[in-house]
Parts: sequence; C-alpha cells; structure tokens
Amino acid sequence: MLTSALECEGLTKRYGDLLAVDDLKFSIGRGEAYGLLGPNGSGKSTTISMIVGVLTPDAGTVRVHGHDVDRHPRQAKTLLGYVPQEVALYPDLTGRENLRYFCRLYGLRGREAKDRVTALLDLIGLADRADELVGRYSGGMQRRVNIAAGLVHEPSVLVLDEPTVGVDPQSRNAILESVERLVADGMTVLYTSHYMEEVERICDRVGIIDQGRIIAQGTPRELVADLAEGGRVEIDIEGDVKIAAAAVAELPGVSVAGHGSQLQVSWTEGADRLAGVLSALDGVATVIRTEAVRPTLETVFLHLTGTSLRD
Amino acid sequence: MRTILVIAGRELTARLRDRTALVIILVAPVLLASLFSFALGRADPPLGGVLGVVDLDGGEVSRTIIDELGRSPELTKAVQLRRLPTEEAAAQALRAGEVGAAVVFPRGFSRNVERSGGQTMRILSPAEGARGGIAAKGVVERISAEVYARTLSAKVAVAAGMPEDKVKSFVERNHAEFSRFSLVNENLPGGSAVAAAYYGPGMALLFGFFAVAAAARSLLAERRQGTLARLRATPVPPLAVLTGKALVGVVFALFSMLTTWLSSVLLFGADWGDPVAVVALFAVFALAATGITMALVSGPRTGGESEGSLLVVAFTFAILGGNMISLYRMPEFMQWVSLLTPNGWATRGFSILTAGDGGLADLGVPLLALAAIATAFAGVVVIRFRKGLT
Repeated sequence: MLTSALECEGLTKRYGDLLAVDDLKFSIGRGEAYGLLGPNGSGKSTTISMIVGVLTPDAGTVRVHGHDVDRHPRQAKTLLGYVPQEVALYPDLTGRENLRYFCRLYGLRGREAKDRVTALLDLIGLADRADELVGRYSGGMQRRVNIAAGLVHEPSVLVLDEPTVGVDPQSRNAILESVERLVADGMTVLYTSHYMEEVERICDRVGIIDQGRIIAQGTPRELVADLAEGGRVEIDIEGDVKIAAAAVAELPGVSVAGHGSQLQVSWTEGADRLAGVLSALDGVATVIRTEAVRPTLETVFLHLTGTSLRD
Repeated sequence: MRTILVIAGRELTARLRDRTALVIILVAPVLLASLFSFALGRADPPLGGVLGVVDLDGGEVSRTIIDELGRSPELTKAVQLRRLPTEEAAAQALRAGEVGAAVVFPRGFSRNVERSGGQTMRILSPAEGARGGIAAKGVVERISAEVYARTLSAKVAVAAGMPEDKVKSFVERNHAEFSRFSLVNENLPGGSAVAAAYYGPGMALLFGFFAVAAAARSLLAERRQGTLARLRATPVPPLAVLTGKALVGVVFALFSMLTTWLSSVLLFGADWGDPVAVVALFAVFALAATGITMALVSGPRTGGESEGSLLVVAFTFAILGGNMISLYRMPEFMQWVSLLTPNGWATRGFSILTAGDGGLADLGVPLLALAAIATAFAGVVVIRFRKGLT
C-alpha cells in the first residue's frame, strides 16, 4: 500500500553546464506538511517546477500517489494543486471569473463549478469582492485568490511556492491560517518560504536544499538537535571584555566573541560547558546576567548552507 | 478538444474586450486598402504600361481583335500595345520589364472561333508583376465575351447540321461579325479596381499577420504574468494551450482578411480570382504567420523586445513580400528575398489568381511553401513547449 503522497527520486535537471538539481530524493507522507528550504539558486524553484509538471526532468521521477507526473501527467496533475510564487491570475477577469476559468480547465462545470467557486470565495474571505477585477485587488487579496485557484479541483497534494512574498502582515496571517486549516483537514502540503517562522509553524518536516541536493531533512526539532549540538550563551559582564574573552578562550573547544559589555560564548561539543566558562571568568570580571541562546532552524540553515535564507 | 475550446473561449473573450485590437484588424485594413486602391488607382493609367501582343494565328479573327485593340480610344488612352513576333520574344520582353504583360493568340485561333471549336488566349505575366497581369486579364475577358458570342452562334449552326464552309457566312449574317467587334463601350477594368486587386490582398495579408500576432502577444502575456506556468500545472495538455490561442488568432485573421476582400469587391469591383483559392491562400497564410509569431514569442526572452519584434517582423515581411510596394517594382534580388517571407509567397499566389485565370490547382507552389513555413515554425514552438516553456 502506498504511503507517500508525493515522491521524488533521482530528480535531475541541467541547464548547460549548470547542474540545477542533482539526483534529488525526498518523499512526503499523506497528510504531511513538508517545508522545502533553500537559498536563492539552490534549485528549489526548478524542483517545484518539475514536481508540478511544468518542467521535464533530465532524469528521475516524480510520483503523486503513485502516478508518474511525466508519464501519466493527467492523473498526477489532477491530484496536484499548485500555488506559484508570483500571482498568476488574469487581471482583466474578476476573482470569480478567474476561479471559474480554472475550474473549467480541471473539468468542473455547471452547478459543481459554481458551488466550488462560492465555497472558495468564502474560504478566502472575498465573497463580497468576488465580482471586481483582480487587477483592482490589493496584493494580499490577489495572493488569496492565487491560493484559491490552486484549490479549485480539491487536490490531495498542494504545492505552495512562497505564497506570502510581498504580503502585508494581516493578509500573511490570513494565508497562513488558511494553509494550517488545509493541513488540519488532512491535505498533503509542500511549502517553500523565505520565512523560517512560517515553515516552523506549518510544516511537520523540513528538507534543506543546497546546490540542487537535499543536504538535511527531518522535523524542525530533529534538525536543531542534530545540527546544533553544543550550546551558545550570552554573558553580560562588568569589567574588561577583552581580558574576560581571553580567559574564556583558553578553555578547549570553546569560542568566544566580545561586543560592548557582552560575551557571546559557544561550544560545539558537550551538553553544558557553562560551569567551566563561569569558573574561567571568576576573578576576571563580574557576571551580571547569563542567557542560554536556543538554536533555531535559521541557525541550522546558516550552519548548513553558509548563507542566510533571505540572502 | 473541450479544453482547447475552453482556452479559445477565454482568448476570444479577452480579444473582444480589447476594442482597439478589433479596430486594428477589421477597420484599418479596409481603410488602408481603400486608400491605396483609390490613390494608386488614380495615379496610374487604368491598365498601366505596355501590353504585348503576339499573333501566332494571323487569321481574320485575331487580326480584327488586335486592330480594334489598337483603335480603341479607351485602350489607347490607357495602354500602349506592342506587337511581338513570338511567345519567346514576349517572355523576354516581360523579363526585361519592357511590357507589363502579354496576350498570345495561338495558332488556329481564328479557325477555331469560326468553326465553333474551343479557343484559348494565353496571358503572359510575371508572377511578381501582378498589375500588368490584371490589365491583360481585363482585356482578355472583354475579348472572350465577344469570341464567346461568335462561337455560340457557330455552335448552333453546326448543331443544326450546317456544312462547315457555310458557317462563317451564316454567323456574320446573324450579327456576330468580327468586323463589328468593338471595345469602345466596354467597361474595362479601372485603375482603382486594378490597384484594389493588388493592394487589397497586400493589406489583407499585413493585417491578417497582425491578427495572429495578437494571439502570440497573448501567449507572451501569459508567460509574463505566470499564468502559462499555472496552466501547465493543470491536466490540460500543453499543446492545447497553444492550439486554443492559435485557433482564435487564425479565425480573427481570416475574418480580417475576408472583410478586406469583401470591401475591395464592393467598393472597387476588384476581382481577386477564384474564391475557393482565395480562402485557401488566406487560411494557409494565417497558419504560416501563426507559426512565425508563436516562435517569436516562445524564445527565452519575454520582455518588450519580444513584443516589439512582432511589429517589426509584420512590417518587414509586408514590405519585402510586396504588400506595400509592388514586387514588380523591386530589384530582382529583392524579389528573391521576398520568397523568404510568407507574404511573398501569398502575394505570388494572389498574382496567379488576379493576373491570370488561375484557380486552386495553380496555387500548388505557394500553398506548399506556406504550409512548409507553418510546419517548420510550429515544430520549433512544439519543441520549446515540450522542453518546458513557461
């Protein structure tokens, strides 16, 4: 019995000399929300394009509930919903007309299409503005219709490519709530975003992609635990920061940086080196405050890819 | 098929909402074709240039006709006749541009007319010199009407059992005498009608190209706004998107070209030739133009330069293809260059129809050339689509 809703295997895409996606492999279970994180140029968009059947891979397969996207595109694409990064709607049509058009492309007609469009407009909170031209909507409203257009055929797998880029906080929150509701209702979601907190909020599992390959994956907690062993602490002191930093730096496996009246101390091995650090400072400086800094997914990402997600 | 119609329906709605585009493809060609026909028709003599005459027959009928052509005040005002000894000499004069067209009376012409047999006059006109051909065709049509009346009388006499040697005198006694043959009151094709039969198709082709270019612009817009990628993520086959758009482009182009044709016939009495062949030329030209315009917008670039290239190509092809300046007046190498454009082939097709009595069967080469252009460019677009054009 199939347990994967979406499965990528050996996915490869090359543009001339550039290997954009390199033997990529991951799978998403039914009802799971999976976040795909990667810096710009990591192959994330190319991967998404191959998954939704917009690009043909040079090698490898994408299967949606067992249907090969390349060999059986009709069956696979019927199960897939796609929300592209940019708003991909017709500005000369109203919100309702846009959704109706996409309904017809998925084979929905008549009463069925009408009811589906009405339900979606209610879901995204635009029922009262449905008959205005999309070109006159605000960015946030367009984003909401953009998501609804990916849901017209009630897909079982939804692929969202940075759906909140350029959206005001209120609309962003509305979008995230909609996605959370879909996940809670059992929809399988592949989500990419530049906002780490969105991924942490929505996704059960995260894959980090760099140079066309998945370099780490797991739950956010697992990733943090696996990749950020050790600890980091901020210590506010009274006294000469340089002398204090030099004293701490003598400890093996500990790195330290001083800024103003604060020391930032970190170590990569060992559960807790704080006691040793405080002993080293004894008689050198007066410790005012210590605060353990919890590693985040952002830290993990930085550690793995050497770049910030928003670079 | 259903999804193609859904996409075509969306395309049609968008096109009908764009009033400016409608004006461009429906009103502008009629206005410009009329303007060209009127202005150039007045500027040129009605038949234009020199008409070559080759009398290989030397019989009474052909002599009478040629003498009358030379005496006709209406003709002499408009066209100068030049007698040529052989068909080869006429062909050479044509190539040298010394005559615009030539009418050939074949051997046995007079005898055939007198004895009620079939008779033919050949028109020699360079394909690229349509206007000369149209002039010759006008003359021949008038002569044919006279010859037909004469032949009909002879046929009736023969059918009634009259001996062959008495047919001639019988026919002449019954007012079908060739000595009375006159073109004085004939309604010879006017300058505007001749110009309309040349520039009308030219304008139809130019604006037909614009009409299919609108479909290409629509594809470009879909690429820019990301809806093409979205469409490709649906179960709709990729080529259905292309077909739906192309279908509307071709229909609009046909509508535009048919409107220009109709206006040319109604306003100037222009004769574009066999209607079936005209429609066939329109259709295959529209397909070739669709292939080219779709290929132009399916490249890696989606910026303004792609859109601009459509306009540049439309005008360049129209000029090179003889739609705005007569091919006949171009240097020879330019006439060869015109063969690189669908407009050039379509113009040659129309020359065959308007300058002679050509029909669909005579359009083999232009139609095949246009179909080859359509197929080659459609192939480019299909390959790009299969590779993942978005």
